[in-house]
Amino acid sequence: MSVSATTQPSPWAATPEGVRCEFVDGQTAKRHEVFAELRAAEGLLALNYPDETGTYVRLAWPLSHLRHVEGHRKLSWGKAPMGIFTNAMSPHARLYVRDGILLNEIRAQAPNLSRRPPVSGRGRLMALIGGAVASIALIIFVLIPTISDQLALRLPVEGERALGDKTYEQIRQSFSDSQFLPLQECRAEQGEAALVAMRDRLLGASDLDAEAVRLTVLDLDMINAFALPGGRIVVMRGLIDAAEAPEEVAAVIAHEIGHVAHRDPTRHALRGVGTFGVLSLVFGDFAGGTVVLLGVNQLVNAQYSQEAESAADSYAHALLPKAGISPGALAPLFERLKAEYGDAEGLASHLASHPKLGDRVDRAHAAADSFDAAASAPVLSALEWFRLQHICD
Amino acid sequence: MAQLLKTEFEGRLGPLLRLSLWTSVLSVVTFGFYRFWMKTRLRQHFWAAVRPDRTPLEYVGKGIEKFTGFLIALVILALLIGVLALVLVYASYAMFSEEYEAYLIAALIAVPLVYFASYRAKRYVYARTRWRGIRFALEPAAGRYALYAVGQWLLTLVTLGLLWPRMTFKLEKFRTDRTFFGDQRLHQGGKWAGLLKSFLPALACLWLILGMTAYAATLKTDEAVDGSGLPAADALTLAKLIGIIAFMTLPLFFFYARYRIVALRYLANHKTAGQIGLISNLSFPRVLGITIGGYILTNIFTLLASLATGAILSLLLVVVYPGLSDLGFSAMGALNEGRLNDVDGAVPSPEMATGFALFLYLATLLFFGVFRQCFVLFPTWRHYASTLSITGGEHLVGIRQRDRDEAGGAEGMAEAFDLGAAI
Ligand SMILES: [Zn+2]
Repeated sequence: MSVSATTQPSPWAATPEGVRCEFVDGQTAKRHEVFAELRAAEGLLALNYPDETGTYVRLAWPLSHLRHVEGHRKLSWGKAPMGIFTNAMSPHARLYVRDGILLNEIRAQAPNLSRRPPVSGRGRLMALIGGAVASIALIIFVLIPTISDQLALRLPVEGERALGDKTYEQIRQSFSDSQFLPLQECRAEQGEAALVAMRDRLLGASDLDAEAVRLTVLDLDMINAFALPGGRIVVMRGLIDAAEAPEEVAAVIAHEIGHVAHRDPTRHALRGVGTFGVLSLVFGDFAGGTVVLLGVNQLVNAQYSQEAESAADSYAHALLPKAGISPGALAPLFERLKAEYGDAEGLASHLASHPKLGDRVDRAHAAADSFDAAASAPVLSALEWFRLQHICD
Repeated sequence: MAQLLKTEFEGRLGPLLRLSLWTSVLSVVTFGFYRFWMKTRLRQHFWAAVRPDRTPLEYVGKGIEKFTGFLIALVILALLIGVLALVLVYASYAMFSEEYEAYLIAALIAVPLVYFASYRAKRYVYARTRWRGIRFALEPAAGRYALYAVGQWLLTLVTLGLLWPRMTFKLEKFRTDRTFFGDQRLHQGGKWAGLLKSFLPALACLWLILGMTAYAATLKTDEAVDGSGLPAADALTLAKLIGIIAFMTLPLFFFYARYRIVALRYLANHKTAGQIGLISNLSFPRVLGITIGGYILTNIFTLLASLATGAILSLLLVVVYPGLSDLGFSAMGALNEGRLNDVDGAVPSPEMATGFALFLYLATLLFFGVFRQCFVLFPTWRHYASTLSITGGEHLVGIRQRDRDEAGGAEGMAEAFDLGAAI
């Protein structure tokens, strides 16, 4: 074949100038041995190689068009560095340089190696971020609360209880010091009897079923009480220790019964399921455990809405007189908490949440004004109160 | 003469450790949002280390693509998952007073979604992978893939796992036959029965476990019928059975892991792209050794790193709260276990304590991820790559470039599901 005869690199032809490198043109998967020569004076990198047909291809890459391949700046070949370069005008082509001298020359002479193509679509990105944030906010703050309110009203009692038991066990696990034993329940027999007496007194005055509420004391040094789905009300030992009279505990429990009557805990738990599902989606595996951790915290320090808290307070103000307890009993504990911790600051407790402690104290006093002190009867005898205080012993 | 091209692997632990640690820290600091860029940079690193015939693979994806893809998927999935989780939990408590049913239904919905998402993720990764400047590609068919996978799963379940190798093969063939290198379509040859032999030991273990579980279940129902409890002999049998079942899971895992590797090798050896073929010499003992050794190293290094972090936090605590100085390096541990009640002077507030505990927890997670990356994934990747050769290298000349596939949405869905946590 006459064509190949004239173009075949013959052993007698002049050796091509430059350093042997490897090259792909971005058109086919064939890799070529090229001779690369940096001609600084002309500002270009000359490449020449024989293609499949044996024809010599000569390329001249202007040094200003030379680019690093993004993310492949610091490659090495064994201990020696290796460079991969491309041409801004033919971005699929690749030049693989293993020769240290040529590599240094290119790095020194090519001015725009690290330049990247201009970023496009920044406006679109911003719109996308804004849209995503707005949609997530809408889902978390509007859609999920609305649906869980509806579902909470429809959940049968057995279902609510099962849900409450589940969350109760989670709380006991997560507040426990030990990995294997859940947090201790306080079940001293005589103390429990006092607790039952208090519950019966309050429930008897309400229009709730006699079985609607279960009271439990947990051995934790935290001034807190909270209601769970299905009517379980948990009182922490710290609250009993902080109370100076059984009426103060009864008043807090009356407030929690208010939450139970309004189904706030169920609403809240269902809302939590949806919200944490979405949040774990947003933050990815990064926060798998964190979300669970925060979730349990959230249940205990349940921050119901301001309306829900006020409604529970009003419920307590209405219930307590019927049980022969002054609604003013809510005030002293809050007053002491306020003196100690300030207005709803520093006290991580649902008792201290939304409505400012001061306001709640004022409203408790106002409710107490219309209470006929003559109708009051101690909620527990001195002995019963003593036994309740030692329920954890 | 067929040209055999060997794959070399050129990657060192040091640079990977630095990159992995640095990008992980950035991810934590940005509440996880750097993870898209982290994964991109790690992929660039892993890809570039693989050098078939001395030319590095290239990963040209961009973090921003992954981020926007994630945002789009997020909105759709947040709606689905938020509302669905809520309704399912409600429904299962309302009907069964339990939540297992919710998990079951969620899993049923998740199966096709997971396959859909994983196909799209693969499509994106292929579209951003190049070798010798030529693009890879996967044809868009995520929806059909998800349906196909559900069908394969049903067959497998109905045959109690006998057709598992068939599922492995058919799903791989579905993807491979839609994969391109440049303009050259890949082809998955071989037969599914070729995988059956290596699956039999795992299947035997599985059936043994299933059989014993069924037998144990009959023992339990006797108890329910009499109400008198199990006869002593039966109770003993039950305890033994449960012991054996627990013990049998070990060989099951072993044989299944072996099957996975053997199947991977078989499938690789039967892949062709026109006249070009692959030869894989993947070795199960090697992979097993790498995995076990890697996890031991990972745990040791994670423990050391967490102890060091705990010590630094303890110092910090002692400096800020001098009352804790008696505790010294164990201050952090005492804080974690809530043993600070008997300390004089100021102690950290509960919020501060939670903050410290959370920090230590996140740091431990981060270290584990980083060390696993370096000691398990990286050596496994090295073994996969360096045992792979390409036959028919002279035919690469005929392969031409293909057009860019936008693969919009990137890996958004898979990202949201946290699939492919490895690279
Ligand atoms: Zn409340």
